[in-house]
Amino acid sequence: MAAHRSLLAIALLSALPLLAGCGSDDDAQVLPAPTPGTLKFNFSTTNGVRASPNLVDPLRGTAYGAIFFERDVSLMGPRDGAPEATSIELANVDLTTADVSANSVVTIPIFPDKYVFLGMLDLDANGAVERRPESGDLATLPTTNQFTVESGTETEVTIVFDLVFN
Amino acid sequence: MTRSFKSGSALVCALAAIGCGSEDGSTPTTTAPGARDLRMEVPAADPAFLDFVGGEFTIEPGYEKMACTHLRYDGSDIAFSKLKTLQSDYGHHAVLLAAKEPLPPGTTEDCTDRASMSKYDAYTIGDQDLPPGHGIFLAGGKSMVLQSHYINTSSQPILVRDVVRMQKMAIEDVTTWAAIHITNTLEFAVPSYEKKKITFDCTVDKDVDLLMVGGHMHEWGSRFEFFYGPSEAELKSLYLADPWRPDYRDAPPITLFFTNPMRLKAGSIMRTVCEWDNSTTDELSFPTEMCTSFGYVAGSKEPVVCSIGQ
Repeated sequence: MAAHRSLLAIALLSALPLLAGCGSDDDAQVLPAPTPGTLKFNFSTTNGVRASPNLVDPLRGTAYGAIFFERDVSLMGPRDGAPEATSIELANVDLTTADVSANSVVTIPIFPDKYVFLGMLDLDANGAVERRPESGDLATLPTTNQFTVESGTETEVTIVFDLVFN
Repeated sequence: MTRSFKSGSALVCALAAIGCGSEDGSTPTTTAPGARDLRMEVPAADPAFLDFVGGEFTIEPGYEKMACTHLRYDGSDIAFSKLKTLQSDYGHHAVLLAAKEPLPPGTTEDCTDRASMSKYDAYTIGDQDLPPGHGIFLAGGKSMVLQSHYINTSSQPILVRDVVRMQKMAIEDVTTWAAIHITNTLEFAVPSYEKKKITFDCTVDKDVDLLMVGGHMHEWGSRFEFFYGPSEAELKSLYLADPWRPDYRDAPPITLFFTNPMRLKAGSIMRTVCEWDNSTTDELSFPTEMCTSFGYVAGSKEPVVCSIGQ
Protein backbone atom coordinates (compact mmCIF):
# COMPACT_ATOMS: atom_id res chain seq x y z
CA MET A 1 0.00 0.00 0.00
CA ALA A 2 1.17 3.53 -0.53
CA ALA A 3 0.24 6.81 1.03
CA HIS A 4 0.54 10.32 -0.34
CA ARG A 5 0.48 13.71 1.33
CA SER A 6 -0.95 17.02 0.21
CA LEU A 7 -0.34 20.47 1.60
CA LEU A 8 -4.05 21.07 1.98
CA ALA A 9 -4.61 18.04 4.17
CA ILE A 10 -1.64 18.92 6.36
CA ALA A 11 -2.92 22.47 6.74
CA LEU A 12 -6.39 21.27 7.68
CA LEU A 13 -5.08 18.82 10.24
CA SER A 14 -2.79 21.45 11.72
CA ALA A 15 -5.71 23.86 12.10
CA LEU A 16 -7.86 21.44 14.07
CA PRO A 17 -6.35 22.11 17.53
CA LEU A 18 -6.45 25.85 16.84
CA LEU A 19 -10.11 25.72 15.93
CA ALA A 20 -10.90 23.63 18.95
CA GLY A 21 -9.21 26.18 21.18
CA CYS A 22 -11.02 29.26 19.85
CA GLY A 23 -13.40 31.34 21.90
CA SER A 24 -13.51 32.74 25.42
CA ASP A 25 -14.98 31.26 28.55
CA ASP A 26 -18.06 33.40 28.02
CA ASP A 27 -18.73 32.12 24.49
CA ALA A 28 -21.15 29.38 23.60
CA GLN A 29 -19.65 25.90 23.68
CA VAL A 30 -17.27 25.21 20.80
CA LEU A 31 -17.99 21.90 19.20
CA PRO A 32 -14.98 19.70 18.55
CA ALA A 33 -13.90 19.42 14.94
CA PRO A 34 -14.93 16.14 13.30
CA THR A 35 -12.36 13.39 13.29
CA PRO A 36 -10.85 12.92 9.84
CA GLY A 37 -11.35 9.68 7.98
CA THR A 38 -9.36 7.84 5.34
CA LEU A 39 -10.12 6.24 1.99
CA LYS A 40 -8.90 2.90 0.71
CA PHE A 41 -9.01 2.73 -3.08
CA ASN A 42 -8.79 -0.20 -5.41
CA PHE A 43 -9.52 0.00 -9.11
CA SER A 44 -11.69 -1.49 -11.78
CA THR A 45 -12.88 -0.88 -15.31
CA THR A 46 -15.92 -1.70 -17.44
CA ASN A 47 -16.70 -4.16 -20.20
CA GLY A 48 -17.14 -1.14 -22.43
CA VAL A 49 -13.53 -0.12 -21.85
CA ARG A 50 -12.30 -3.68 -22.41
CA ALA A 51 -14.16 -3.75 -25.74
CA SER A 52 -13.23 -0.22 -26.81
CA PRO A 53 -11.73 0.10 -30.31
CA ASN A 54 -9.36 2.70 -28.84
CA LEU A 55 -7.78 0.32 -26.32
CA VAL A 56 -4.37 -0.75 -27.65
CA ASP A 57 -2.27 -1.54 -24.55
CA PRO A 58 -2.73 -4.19 -21.86
CA LEU A 59 -4.84 -3.06 -18.92
CA ARG A 60 -1.90 -2.65 -16.59
CA GLY A 61 -0.17 0.48 -15.30
CA THR A 62 0.09 3.14 -12.64
CA ALA A 63 -3.03 4.80 -11.31
CA TYR A 64 -2.85 8.50 -10.60
CA GLY A 65 -5.66 10.48 -9.08
CA ALA A 66 -6.79 13.51 -7.12
CA ILE A 67 -9.70 13.93 -4.74
CA PHE A 68 -11.86 17.04 -4.96
CA PHE A 69 -14.84 18.22 -2.96
CA GLU A 70 -17.97 17.07 -4.77
CA ARG A 71 -19.35 20.62 -4.85
CA ASP A 72 -16.29 21.76 -6.82
CA VAL A 73 -16.74 19.30 -9.66
CA SER A 74 -19.27 19.53 -12.48
CA LEU A 75 -19.54 17.70 -15.75
CA MET A 76 -16.81 20.02 -17.00
CA GLY A 77 -14.50 18.75 -14.27
CA PRO A 78 -13.14 20.67 -11.30
CA ARG A 79 -13.84 24.40 -11.35
CA ASP A 80 -10.89 26.71 -11.76
CA GLY A 81 -9.00 26.99 -8.51
CA ALA A 82 -10.69 24.00 -6.89
CA PRO A 83 -8.38 22.58 -4.20
CA GLU A 84 -7.40 18.94 -4.05
CA ALA A 85 -8.09 17.29 -0.72
CA THR A 86 -5.31 14.86 -1.51
CA SER A 87 -3.82 12.85 -4.35
CA ILE A 88 -2.72 9.26 -4.83
CA GLU A 89 -0.44 7.12 -6.93
CA LEU A 90 -0.46 3.33 -7.11
CA ALA A 91 1.86 1.33 -9.33
CA ASN A 92 1.22 -2.10 -10.82
CA VAL A 93 -2.55 -1.85 -11.09
CA ASP A 94 -3.37 -4.94 -13.15
CA LEU A 95 -6.81 -5.29 -14.69
CA THR A 96 -5.83 -7.57 -17.55
CA THR A 97 -7.80 -10.48 -16.10
CA ALA A 98 -9.01 -9.25 -12.71
CA ASP A 99 -12.29 -7.39 -12.38
CA VAL A 100 -10.82 -5.41 -9.48
CA SER A 101 -7.17 -4.63 -8.75
CA ALA A 102 -5.53 -6.86 -6.19
CA ASN A 103 -3.61 -3.95 -4.71
CA SER A 104 -4.97 -0.82 -3.09
CA VAL A 105 -3.88 2.53 -1.69
CA VAL A 106 -4.91 4.35 1.46
CA THR A 107 -5.09 8.13 1.62
CA ILE A 108 -3.96 10.36 4.43
CA PRO A 109 -6.77 11.42 6.81
CA ILE A 110 -9.09 14.03 5.31
CA PHE A 111 -12.10 15.91 6.61
CA PRO A 112 -15.47 14.14 6.54
CA ASP A 113 -17.27 15.43 3.47
CA LYS A 114 -18.43 14.41 0.00
CA TYR A 115 -15.71 13.95 -2.57
CA VAL A 116 -15.06 12.98 -6.18
CA PHE A 117 -12.07 11.04 -7.51
CA LEU A 118 -10.65 12.14 -10.85
CA GLY A 119 -7.83 10.12 -12.26
CA MET A 120 -6.22 7.95 -14.87
CA LEU A 121 -4.58 4.59 -15.43
CA ASP A 122 -1.34 5.15 -17.29
CA LEU A 123 -1.07 2.20 -19.67
CA ASP A 124 1.95 3.33 -21.66
CA ALA A 125 4.14 4.23 -18.67
CA ASN A 126 4.71 7.84 -19.57
CA GLY A 127 2.41 9.64 -17.20
CA ALA A 128 4.72 10.13 -14.23
CA VAL A 129 5.67 13.72 -15.05
CA GLU A 130 2.60 15.31 -16.65
CA ARG A 131 0.01 13.03 -15.06
CA ARG A 132 -2.34 13.73 -17.93
CA PRO A 133 -4.10 10.93 -19.77
CA GLU A 134 -2.99 10.39 -23.35
CA SER A 135 -4.67 8.56 -26.16
CA GLY A 136 -5.13 4.97 -25.04
CA ASP A 137 -4.92 5.62 -21.29
CA LEU A 138 -7.94 5.04 -19.10
CA ALA A 139 -9.67 7.92 -17.36
CA THR A 140 -12.50 8.48 -14.95
CA LEU A 141 -15.70 10.32 -15.76
CA PRO A 142 -16.24 13.63 -13.96
CA THR A 143 -18.95 12.66 -11.52
CA THR A 144 -19.22 8.90 -11.31
CA ASN A 145 -16.64 8.15 -8.62
CA GLN A 146 -18.32 9.98 -5.75
CA PHE A 147 -18.13 8.96 -2.09
CA THR A 148 -18.39 10.24 1.44
CA VAL A 149 -15.59 10.30 3.97
CA GLU A 150 -16.99 9.36 7.38
CA SER A 151 -15.56 10.66 10.62
CA GLY A 152 -12.91 8.43 12.14
CA THR A 153 -13.35 5.54 9.71
CA GLU A 154 -11.63 4.05 6.66
CA THR A 155 -14.00 3.91 3.71
CA GLU A 156 -13.32 1.40 0.99
CA VAL A 157 -14.04 2.59 -2.53
CA THR A 158 -13.59 0.88 -5.89
CA ILE A 159 -12.66 3.50 -8.46
CA VAL A 160 -13.96 2.70 -11.93
CA PHE A 161 -12.19 3.85 -15.06
CA ASP A 162 -15.09 4.37 -17.50
CA LEU A 163 -13.28 5.79 -20.47
CA VAL A 164 -10.45 5.13 -22.91
CA PHE A 165 -8.92 8.53 -23.59
CA ASN A 166 -8.51 9.47 -27.23
CA MET B 1 -1.60 17.28 -10.44
CA THR B 2 -4.19 19.97 -9.92
CA ARG B 3 -5.45 20.27 -13.47
CA SER B 4 -4.35 16.95 -14.97
CA PHE B 5 -7.76 15.42 -14.77
CA LYS B 6 -9.74 18.45 -15.87
CA SER B 7 -8.80 17.67 -19.45
CA GLY B 8 -10.06 14.15 -19.07
CA SER B 9 -13.26 15.36 -17.49
CA ALA B 10 -13.98 17.98 -20.12
CA LEU B 11 -13.44 15.37 -22.76
CA VAL B 12 -16.43 13.48 -21.64
CA CYS B 13 -18.75 16.32 -20.82
CA ALA B 14 -21.21 15.25 -23.44
CA LEU B 15 -24.84 15.28 -22.70
CA ALA B 16 -26.76 18.32 -22.19
CA ALA B 17 -27.85 17.91 -25.75
CA ILE B 18 -29.90 15.24 -24.10
CA GLY B 19 -29.68 16.66 -20.61
CA CYS B 20 -32.60 15.31 -18.74
CA GLY B 21 -34.21 16.71 -15.66
CA SER B 22 -36.29 15.38 -12.84
CA GLU B 23 -39.56 13.55 -12.96
CA ASP B 24 -42.00 16.27 -12.04
CA GLY B 25 -39.89 19.41 -12.30
CA SER B 26 -41.56 20.86 -9.20
CA THR B 27 -39.08 23.28 -7.65
CA PRO B 28 -39.62 26.60 -5.94
CA THR B 29 -39.31 29.48 -8.38
CA THR B 30 -39.34 32.53 -6.13
CA THR B 31 -36.20 34.62 -5.86
CA ALA B 32 -35.30 34.19 -2.22
CA PRO B 33 -33.86 37.11 -0.24
CA GLY B 34 -30.38 36.47 0.97
CA ALA B 35 -29.55 34.17 -1.91
CA ARG B 36 -25.85 33.63 -2.40
CA ASP B 37 -24.83 35.38 -5.61
CA LEU B 38 -23.03 32.87 -7.81
CA ARG B 39 -23.74 34.56 -11.13
CA MET B 40 -20.94 34.11 -13.63
CA GLU B 41 -19.35 37.31 -14.79
CA VAL B 42 -20.09 38.09 -18.41
CA PRO B 43 -16.71 38.26 -20.18
CA ALA B 44 -15.59 41.47 -21.79
CA ALA B 45 -16.60 41.54 -25.44
CA ASP B 46 -13.97 39.91 -27.61
CA PRO B 47 -14.27 39.78 -31.41
CA ALA B 48 -12.89 36.25 -31.37
CA PHE B 49 -15.89 34.99 -29.41
CA LEU B 50 -19.66 34.93 -29.34
CA ASP B 51 -21.02 35.03 -25.79
CA PHE B 52 -24.45 33.66 -24.98
CA VAL B 53 -25.70 34.70 -21.56
CA GLY B 54 -28.38 32.74 -19.77
CA GLY B 55 -31.15 34.12 -17.61
CA GLU B 56 -30.81 34.58 -13.86
CA PHE B 57 -32.67 32.26 -11.56
CA THR B 58 -32.61 31.06 -7.97
CA ILE B 59 -32.45 27.52 -6.68
CA GLU B 60 -33.53 26.79 -3.13
CA PRO B 61 -31.26 24.63 -0.92
CA GLY B 62 -31.73 20.95 -1.55
CA TYR B 63 -33.39 21.43 -4.92
CA GLU B 64 -32.46 20.74 -8.51
CA LYS B 65 -33.52 22.97 -11.41
CA MET B 66 -33.06 23.41 -15.15
CA ALA B 67 -33.79 26.74 -16.80
CA CYS B 68 -33.84 27.39 -20.53
CA THR B 69 -33.21 30.91 -21.80
CA HIS B 70 -34.28 31.67 -25.35
CA LEU B 71 -31.64 33.33 -27.49
CA ARG B 72 -31.26 34.29 -31.13
CA TYR B 73 -28.06 34.76 -33.07
CA ASP B 74 -28.61 37.83 -35.24
CA GLY B 75 -25.24 37.98 -36.97
CA SER B 76 -24.32 36.59 -40.36
CA ASP B 77 -23.59 32.94 -41.02
CA ILE B 78 -20.49 31.81 -39.17
CA ALA B 79 -18.74 28.75 -37.77
CA PHE B 80 -17.34 27.88 -34.38
CA SER B 81 -14.64 25.45 -33.38
CA LYS B 82 -15.09 25.11 -29.66
CA LEU B 83 -17.25 26.06 -26.75
CA LYS B 84 -16.36 27.12 -23.24
CA THR B 85 -19.02 26.89 -20.56
CA LEU B 86 -18.86 29.31 -17.66
CA GLN B 87 -20.86 27.88 -14.78
CA SER B 88 -20.53 28.29 -11.03
CA ASP B 89 -20.51 25.94 -8.04
CA TYR B 90 -23.36 23.43 -7.93
CA GLY B 91 -23.68 23.67 -11.69
CA HIS B 92 -24.31 20.36 -13.41
CA HIS B 93 -24.17 21.47 -17.02
CA ALA B 94 -24.94 24.33 -19.39
CA VAL B 95 -25.42 23.80 -23.11
CA LEU B 96 -26.91 25.33 -26.25
CA LEU B 97 -29.86 23.56 -27.81
CA ALA B 98 -31.91 24.45 -30.88
CA ALA B 99 -35.37 25.82 -30.06
CA LYS B 100 -38.25 24.18 -31.90
CA GLU B 101 -40.73 26.74 -30.55
CA PRO B 102 -38.77 29.99 -30.22
CA LEU B 103 -39.89 32.51 -27.63
CA PRO B 104 -38.78 36.16 -27.48
CA PRO B 105 -35.03 36.33 -26.83
CA GLY B 106 -34.31 36.64 -23.13
CA THR B 107 -37.33 34.60 -22.08
CA THR B 108 -36.33 32.10 -19.41
CA GLU B 109 -38.56 29.10 -18.78
CA ASP B 110 -38.35 26.28 -16.32
CA CYS B 111 -37.37 23.17 -18.27
CA THR B 112 -36.75 20.86 -15.32
CA ASP B 113 -39.60 18.61 -16.32
CA ARG B 114 -38.29 15.91 -18.64
CA ALA B 115 -41.24 16.37 -20.92
CA SER B 116 -39.88 19.84 -21.74
CA MET B 117 -37.08 18.22 -23.74
CA SER B 118 -39.47 17.67 -26.64
CA LYS B 119 -39.33 21.45 -27.29
CA TYR B 120 -35.62 21.41 -28.08
CA ASP B 121 -33.26 19.76 -30.55
CA ALA B 122 -29.67 18.78 -29.92
CA TYR B 123 -27.18 21.29 -31.30
CA THR B 124 -23.97 21.23 -29.25
CA ILE B 125 -22.35 18.75 -26.89
CA GLY B 126 -20.66 20.52 -24.01
CA ASP B 127 -17.09 21.80 -24.13
CA GLN B 128 -15.92 19.31 -26.69
CA ASP B 129 -13.00 20.51 -28.80
CA LEU B 130 -13.04 19.44 -32.42
CA PRO B 131 -10.03 18.45 -34.50
CA PRO B 132 -8.16 21.33 -36.13
CA GLY B 133 -9.91 22.88 -39.12
CA HIS B 134 -13.29 21.46 -38.11
CA GLY B 135 -16.12 23.89 -37.58
CA ILE B 136 -19.80 23.74 -36.67
CA PHE B 137 -22.17 25.92 -38.65
CA LEU B 138 -24.14 28.70 -36.96
CA ALA B 139 -26.71 30.25 -39.24
CA GLY B 140 -27.69 33.87 -38.93
CA GLY B 141 -31.07 34.11 -37.21
CA LYS B 142 -30.77 30.74 -35.47
CA SER B 143 -33.00 30.41 -32.42
CA MET B 144 -31.51 28.54 -29.50
CA VAL B 145 -31.89 28.04 -25.78
CA LEU B 146 -29.14 28.04 -23.18
CA GLN B 147 -30.08 25.22 -20.85
CA SER B 148 -28.62 25.54 -17.36
CA HIS B 149 -28.85 22.72 -14.86
CA TYR B 150 -28.06 23.19 -11.16
CA ILE B 151 -28.20 20.94 -8.13
CA ASN B 152 -28.07 23.04 -4.97
CA THR B 153 -26.60 20.83 -2.29
CA SER B 154 -25.79 23.81 -0.07
CA SER B 155 -27.78 25.20 2.83
CA GLN B 156 -28.52 28.54 1.16
CA PRO B 157 -30.49 29.64 -1.89
CA ILE B 158 -28.22 30.43 -4.81
CA LEU B 159 -28.66 32.98 -7.58
CA VAL B 160 -27.06 31.84 -10.82
CA ARG B 161 -26.44 32.91 -14.38
CA ASP B 162 -24.34 31.01 -16.93
CA VAL B 163 -22.42 31.97 -20.03
CA VAL B 164 -21.54 29.85 -23.05
CA ARG B 165 -18.72 31.24 -25.09
CA MET B 166 -18.22 30.16 -28.72
CA GLN B 167 -14.85 30.52 -30.35
CA LYS B 168 -15.64 31.96 -33.76
CA MET B 169 -14.20 30.58 -36.93
CA ALA B 170 -14.48 32.26 -40.30
CA ILE B 171 -16.44 30.24 -42.81
CA GLU B 172 -13.48 30.32 -45.19
CA ASP B 173 -11.23 28.79 -42.54
CA VAL B 174 -13.35 25.70 -42.18
CA THR B 175 -11.70 22.75 -43.89
CA THR B 176 -14.23 20.23 -42.61
CA TRP B 177 -17.78 20.84 -41.45
CA ALA B 178 -18.86 18.98 -38.34
CA ALA B 179 -22.30 18.53 -36.91
CA ILE B 180 -24.08 16.70 -34.15
CA HIS B 181 -25.24 13.16 -34.84
CA ILE B 182 -28.22 11.48 -33.11
CA THR B 183 -30.07 8.17 -33.34
CA ASN B 184 -33.13 8.01 -31.16
CA THR B 185 -36.31 6.01 -30.69
CA LEU B 186 -39.52 6.78 -28.85
CA GLU B 187 -41.00 3.36 -29.60
CA PHE B 188 -40.37 1.34 -26.48
CA ALA B 189 -42.06 0.50 -23.21
CA VAL B 190 -40.48 -1.41 -20.34
CA PRO B 191 -43.09 -3.10 -18.15
CA SER B 192 -42.94 -2.75 -14.40
CA TYR B 193 -40.36 -5.03 -12.72
CA GLU B 194 -39.22 -6.46 -16.05
CA LYS B 195 -36.09 -6.39 -18.18
CA LYS B 196 -36.28 -5.35 -21.80
CA LYS B 197 -33.97 -5.10 -24.78
CA ILE B 198 -34.71 -3.18 -27.97
CA THR B 199 -32.84 -2.74 -31.20
CA PHE B 200 -33.41 -0.17 -33.90
CA ASP B 201 -31.60 0.56 -37.14
CA CYS B 202 -30.94 3.78 -39.01
CA THR B 203 -29.57 4.10 -42.52
CA VAL B 204 -26.69 6.44 -43.17
CA ASP B 205 -27.96 9.07 -45.63
CA LYS B 206 -24.62 10.32 -46.91
CA ASP B 207 -20.94 9.62 -46.45
CA VAL B 208 -19.70 11.17 -43.22
CA ASP B 209 -16.90 10.45 -40.75
CA LEU B 210 -17.82 9.57 -37.20
CA LEU B 211 -15.77 11.64 -34.75
CA MET B 212 -17.43 10.72 -31.51
CA VAL B 213 -20.19 8.45 -30.23
CA GLY B 214 -21.83 8.04 -26.86
CA GLY B 215 -25.00 6.53 -25.47
CA HIS B 216 -27.85 7.97 -23.48
CA MET B 217 -30.33 6.24 -21.22
CA HIS B 218 -31.58 7.08 -17.76
CA GLU B 219 -31.25 5.45 -14.36
CA TRP B 220 -32.85 2.13 -15.30
CA GLY B 221 -30.65 1.41 -18.26
CA SER B 222 -28.53 -1.73 -17.91
CA ARG B 223 -26.58 -1.97 -21.16
CA PHE B 224 -26.04 0.13 -24.30
CA GLU B 225 -24.31 -0.72 -27.55
CA PHE B 226 -23.89 0.99 -30.91
CA PHE B 227 -22.98 -0.87 -34.10
CA TYR B 228 -22.08 0.10 -37.63
CA GLY B 229 -21.70 -1.91 -40.82
CA PRO B 230 -22.48 -2.09 -44.53
CA SER B 231 -24.91 -4.92 -43.87
CA GLU B 232 -26.49 -6.78 -40.97
CA ALA B 233 -23.98 -9.57 -41.33
CA GLU B 234 -21.07 -7.14 -41.11
CA LEU B 235 -22.11 -5.04 -38.11
CA LYS B 236 -19.22 -4.07 -35.84
CA SER B 237 -19.53 -2.65 -32.32
CA LEU B 238 -18.22 0.90 -32.03
CA TYR B 239 -19.43 1.69 -28.53
CA LEU B 240 -20.36 -0.35 -25.51
CA ALA B 241 -21.48 0.74 -22.04
CA ASP B 242 -21.74 -2.44 -19.97
CA PRO B 243 -22.94 -2.20 -17.34
CA TRP B 244 -24.85 1.04 -17.83
CA ARG B 245 -24.50 2.95 -14.57
CA PRO B 246 -27.15 5.43 -13.30
CA ASP B 247 -24.52 8.19 -13.28
CA TYR B 248 -24.13 7.75 -17.02
CA ARG B 249 -27.46 9.51 -17.45
CA ASP B 250 -25.68 12.81 -17.15
CA ALA B 251 -22.09 11.90 -18.01
CA PRO B 252 -21.76 8.78 -20.13
CA PRO B 253 -18.50 7.41 -21.43
CA ILE B 254 -17.83 8.28 -25.05
CA THR B 255 -15.66 6.84 -27.79
CA LEU B 256 -13.63 9.33 -29.77
CA PHE B 257 -12.37 8.84 -33.29
CA PHE B 258 -10.54 12.14 -33.67
CA THR B 259 -7.26 10.52 -34.66
CA ASN B 260 -8.94 7.74 -36.62
CA PRO B 261 -12.32 8.95 -37.94
CA MET B 262 -14.70 6.11 -38.72
CA ARG B 263 -16.10 6.42 -42.24
CA LEU B 264 -19.86 5.88 -42.32
CA LYS B 265 -20.88 5.18 -45.89
CA ALA B 266 -24.23 6.11 -47.38
CA GLY B 267 -26.60 3.16 -47.27
CA SER B 268 -24.88 1.52 -44.31
CA ILE B 269 -26.57 0.54 -41.05
CA MET B 270 -26.24 2.18 -37.64
CA ARG B 271 -27.74 -0.09 -35.01
CA THR B 272 -28.58 1.08 -31.49
CA VAL B 273 -29.26 -1.48 -28.78
CA CYS B 274 -30.67 -0.51 -25.38
CA GLU B 275 -31.41 -2.69 -22.39
CA TRP B 276 -33.24 -1.77 -19.20
CA ASP B 277 -34.05 -3.33 -15.85
CA ASN B 278 -37.22 -1.68 -14.56
CA SER B 279 -37.22 -1.76 -10.77
CA THR B 280 -40.25 0.54 -10.46
CA THR B 281 -43.98 0.03 -10.15
CA ASP B 282 -44.58 1.96 -13.38
CA GLU B 283 -44.03 1.19 -17.03
CA LEU B 284 -41.02 3.08 -18.38
CA SER B 285 -41.25 4.93 -21.69
CA PHE B 286 -40.00 8.16 -23.23
CA PRO B 287 -39.06 10.60 -21.67
CA THR B 288 -38.72 8.86 -18.30
CA GLU B 289 -36.33 6.56 -20.10
CA MET B 290 -34.52 7.12 -23.35
CA CYS B 291 -32.57 5.21 -25.96
CA THR B 292 -30.30 7.57 -27.88
CA SER B 293 -26.86 7.60 -29.39
CA PHE B 294 -25.16 10.94 -29.91
CA GLY B 295 -21.91 12.34 -31.15
CA TYR B 296 -20.28 14.39 -33.85
CA VAL B 297 -19.73 13.59 -37.52
CA ALA B 298 -17.45 15.32 -39.98
CA GLY B 299 -18.56 16.08 -43.50
CA SER B 300 -21.97 17.51 -42.75
CA LYS B 301 -23.05 21.08 -42.21
CA GLU B 302 -26.43 20.04 -40.82
CA PRO B 303 -27.17 17.80 -37.84
CA VAL B 304 -27.50 14.16 -38.81
CA VAL B 305 -30.56 12.92 -36.98
CA CYS B 306 -32.45 9.64 -37.21
CA SER B 307 -35.42 9.55 -34.88
CA ILE B 308 -37.91 6.69 -34.82
CA GLY B 309 -41.43 7.50 -33.67
CA GLN B 310 -41.45 11.27 -34.25
